Amino acid sequence: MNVDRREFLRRAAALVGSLALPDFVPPPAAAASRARVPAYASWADVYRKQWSWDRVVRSTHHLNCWFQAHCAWDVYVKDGLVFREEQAGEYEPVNAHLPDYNPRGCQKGGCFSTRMYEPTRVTHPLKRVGPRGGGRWERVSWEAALDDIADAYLDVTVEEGTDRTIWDLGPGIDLGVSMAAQGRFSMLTQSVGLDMDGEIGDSRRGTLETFGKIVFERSADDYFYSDLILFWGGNPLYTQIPQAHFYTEARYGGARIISITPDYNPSAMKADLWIPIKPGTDAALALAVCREIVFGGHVDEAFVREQTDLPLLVRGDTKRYLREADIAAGGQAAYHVLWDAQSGALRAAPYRSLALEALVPELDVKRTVRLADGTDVEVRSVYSLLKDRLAEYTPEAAGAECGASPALVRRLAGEIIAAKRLANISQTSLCKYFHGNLAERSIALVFALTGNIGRRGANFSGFPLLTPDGGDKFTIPPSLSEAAATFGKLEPLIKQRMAAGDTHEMIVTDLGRLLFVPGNPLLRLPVWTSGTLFWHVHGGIGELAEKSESWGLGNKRPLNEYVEESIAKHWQPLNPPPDRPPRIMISLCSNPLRRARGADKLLEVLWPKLKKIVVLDWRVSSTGRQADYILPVAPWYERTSLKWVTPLSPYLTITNAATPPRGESKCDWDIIVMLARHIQARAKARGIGSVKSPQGLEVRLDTLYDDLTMQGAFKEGDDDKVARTLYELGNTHKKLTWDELKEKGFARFENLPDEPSSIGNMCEIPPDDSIVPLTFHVRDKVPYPTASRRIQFYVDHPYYEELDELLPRYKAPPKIGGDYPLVMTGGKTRWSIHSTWRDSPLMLKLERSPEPYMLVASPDAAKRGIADGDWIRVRNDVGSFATIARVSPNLRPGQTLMYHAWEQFQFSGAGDMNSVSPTPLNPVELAGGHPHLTAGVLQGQNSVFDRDTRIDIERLRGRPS
Amino acid sequence: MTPGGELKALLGSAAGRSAVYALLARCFRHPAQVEQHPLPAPAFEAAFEPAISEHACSLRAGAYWAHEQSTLFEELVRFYEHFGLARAEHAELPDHLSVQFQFMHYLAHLEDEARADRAAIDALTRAQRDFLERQLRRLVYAVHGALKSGDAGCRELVALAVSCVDAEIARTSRAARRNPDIPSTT
Ligand code: SF4
Repeated sequence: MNVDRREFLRRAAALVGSLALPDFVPPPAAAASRARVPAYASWADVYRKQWSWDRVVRSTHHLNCWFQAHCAWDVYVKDGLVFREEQAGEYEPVNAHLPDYNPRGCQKGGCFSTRMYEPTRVTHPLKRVGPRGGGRWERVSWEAALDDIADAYLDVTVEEGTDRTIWDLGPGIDLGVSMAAQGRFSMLTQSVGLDMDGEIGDSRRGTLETFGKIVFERSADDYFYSDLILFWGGNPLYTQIPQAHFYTEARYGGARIISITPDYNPSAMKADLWIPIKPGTDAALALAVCREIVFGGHVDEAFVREQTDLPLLVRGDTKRYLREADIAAGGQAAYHVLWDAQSGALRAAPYRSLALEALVPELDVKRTVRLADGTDVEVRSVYSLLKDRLAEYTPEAAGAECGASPALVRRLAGEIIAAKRLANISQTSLCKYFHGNLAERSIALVFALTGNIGRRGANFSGFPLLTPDGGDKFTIPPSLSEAAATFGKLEPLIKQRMAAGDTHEMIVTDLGRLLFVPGNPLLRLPVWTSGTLFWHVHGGIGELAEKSESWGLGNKRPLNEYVEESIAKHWQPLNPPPDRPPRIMISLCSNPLRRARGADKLLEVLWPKLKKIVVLDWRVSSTGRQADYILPVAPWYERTSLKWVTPLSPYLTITNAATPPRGESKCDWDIIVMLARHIQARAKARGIGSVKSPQGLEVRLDTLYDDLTMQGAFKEGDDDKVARTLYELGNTHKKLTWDELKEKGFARFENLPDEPSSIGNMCEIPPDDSIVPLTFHVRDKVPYPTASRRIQFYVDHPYYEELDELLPRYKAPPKIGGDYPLVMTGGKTRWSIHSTWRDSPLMLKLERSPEPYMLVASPDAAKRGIADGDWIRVRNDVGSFATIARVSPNLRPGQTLMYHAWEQFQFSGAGDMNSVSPTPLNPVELAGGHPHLTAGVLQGQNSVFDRDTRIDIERLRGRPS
Repeated sequence: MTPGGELKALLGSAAGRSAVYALLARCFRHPAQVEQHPLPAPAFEAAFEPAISEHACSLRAGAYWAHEQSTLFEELVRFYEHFGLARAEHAELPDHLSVQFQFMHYLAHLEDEARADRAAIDALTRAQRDFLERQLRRLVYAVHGALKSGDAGCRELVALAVSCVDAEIARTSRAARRNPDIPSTT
């Protein structure tokens, strides 16, 4: 039939007398029509009956809310639809002294019931029509989509190798049910997952360098015990909405807040003191504070002697730590050496414990010692070297660099010195600066020198993460009944290492590192690789750094030399290697074209290499728009899962399927299992059995589904069963059964998870008090997982020596993108979590501008004749884009700020905010072959730097076309 | 008779109106869900599926609703429930144009069945007028205004929907004027 009126009328006439209600369940047909017509006088009648819900379900939003993850919500269901959500507000008080966690939530979560039903939601598999990015799609059946993807996968895997299929794992990965499917798929097929932690700019490199790990954080209620809280590099009023109240409540207990940021941001407004500094100069300020502490005689010597490497000796000739093997025949190469004031002699530093026993390490050591081979060398303690370094950071000198007055620097130092319990806040802002590692090391030094680590109310903030620990037991063994045997193979190694003095934390961390070593002889594991390095090499982002030598990065050699050396020495993981281009990319909880700095390059360089791009999502993101398939994922109120949280809010919070998935959507678990089923079926049909991975592991393709599902024990539709199993396999929660947890929606962690992404917290999770990370080190004297087994400020790696970063120092921010007068900073937006709500009409209403905008400092705008609301072009040596200028009095002159996560398609004209961010690699992050600078789960890999991006802006006549 | 006249004639009886609404409901469902859909799927998706096409207009009232979505859903569901209709398991969302036309199809069908039952017919006429004025008119005009597709079939379909709704509003308003028991809708 055509749509012309005559044909329409003809068809309508044919329907006379029929009744077709596909979207309704009508009343029973037997009822007389008269009885079916209720009284109706006016529309108000439909409102007379009391409204009731079919059910109320506890659920949450399992995206990367990061510091604020997650919040329990009551989800109200009627007629198979979620109408609204309401904060659960049932978090029990932890103790009588501490404020409780109620109510948890944010405005994004509070409108998710609207967001999930927006017209842009994808509810059917979509296949590209025409060229990639052409914007034309067709609905296809699951069978057709998965058969096509399975055939492409088989072609690539058989012809080019198992490592050509890439899982682009975005920040939304749950380390729960979705990752159970992806992890088993990767373990069985040796396909490669991208570790995105550094790639999203969350590397916390300086924390790794100092503590040998990045994961450790307190619970947010611990701030109630602090007397001074530093908002250093963070904006918790934006990034920690559900728990920001703890900061303001801490002030009732007498705590003071000092904000150290370039802009007078919403959190700075809540502070007692705001110290405005130039972007990227935090290290100068921190080292000036350290100088005041050291030269003012305020060092907590007991803490420093025991917990840090400051008393350890360094050889003047090699610039490496002095080892016991250097001074005594038969001495241990792993043992560091200190000068014991008690005996007046060199002594090996305690190895199995931090406890000094009878030793009294001298801090300020500079002397000549005789080595075992009879040579005399000068040795100095790290503390002595540090004093030399700190001497130059006078408040005047540091103030000149960072822009704070010397008086303000002294005042900050004074407040810190006077504080009994000093705290700072979770942030992943400093590590987005090229020299952010140095800033983190310098700030950590402030905390270490004053002994404000590992005590209630006193702690340095690491990277917050708590993951329920049942995942590995589900993902790695062939079946659950073989779990004990699978992990039993590790027992001899574990015993051997424990006997040699290694700690449980070190061993668990190292097991995580095996994910980056495909084909390792110990255990068949999923394969992970560095996301940043993958984009850099395979994605072409590295090409953007071709002009980097003029950006003042301070490298001693061309960047590529470092990259090639690091890859050749296997210091950093890159799978597949550079000569094996990737062919299939499956994006899970990910949106790299929105996120990756310099993402235009991915389209230019990576996309042509890919034979199939599959995006699993419930909306058409920037990446989805350039994909071959979009497979519709059920959002959080339509599936059951569990996910990581953070110690800041230490409650495992689950999603519950409040309603069935809309349309043909499915949860990630189902989609990956179905893909395995299609691969198995197509392999059988095509007579394909197995192939070998590049490392020689057999990959069975004709039994993939059977193996992934443990011979059918966990099939499609079993997401709830998988979640229950993960929960029950874990050791973190024993008080509530899975069914009770589903009813309640959340449960406080009871034990420290025994897995690589959480073990670093190294503390109890008390039921009745706040969480104090690093307790096992500070209270129980368990060594840190660093080379020196202490909080380590001296990093004796060749790259650190070459780049003069053996000790913390300040390096002026480079001019990434070229010598332009303005610096483009960024931050997390208040109105979206990553890009998930970025184009939500409701949230955009609350934005200062419903499309991408840049905050520009008033004097910079005036100088360029730019008024609030004008269109501007932002440009530098690598690219440009257009946006709206919002003139702000809150910004420091010279600073511009773009809150993150605008989708590419929200920009007008060519380019987007990532087009000007070339994000060159920092060579120190390419280090490896070192006990704690080795890639591991979410740590020790390259990161991205967009905060030092230099730009200029000019007014446009109007919106670009 | 001209097509306009034929449409008028068809809308002149409850059975005819029910059939017209039934057909409109079918036409605004995705072609994959309907046998012999008048539009090819790509044209339909380009015109009416914002998840697929950047330039598509939505067939969902929520897309044009300035207030909380739940208030819209609630009123629609209340209307449907009042007349005994529950939502089917894999149904479109309650604010979808196809669902709203189905509801009108059902009311007209009841009206046709009620025949001589004056009270029932009055009640159904009031309900149709209210639903048209409070919901359907707003939606078809919003779709008409937002439609960017140049596809002749899509444009004709939307124009037909507007004509039918206009005609129906006129009819139910006339009925209200004739019968003072039918109160004003606002
Ligand atoms: S989006 Fe995240 S922070 Fe916001 S309410 Fe949901 S779980 Fe909480």
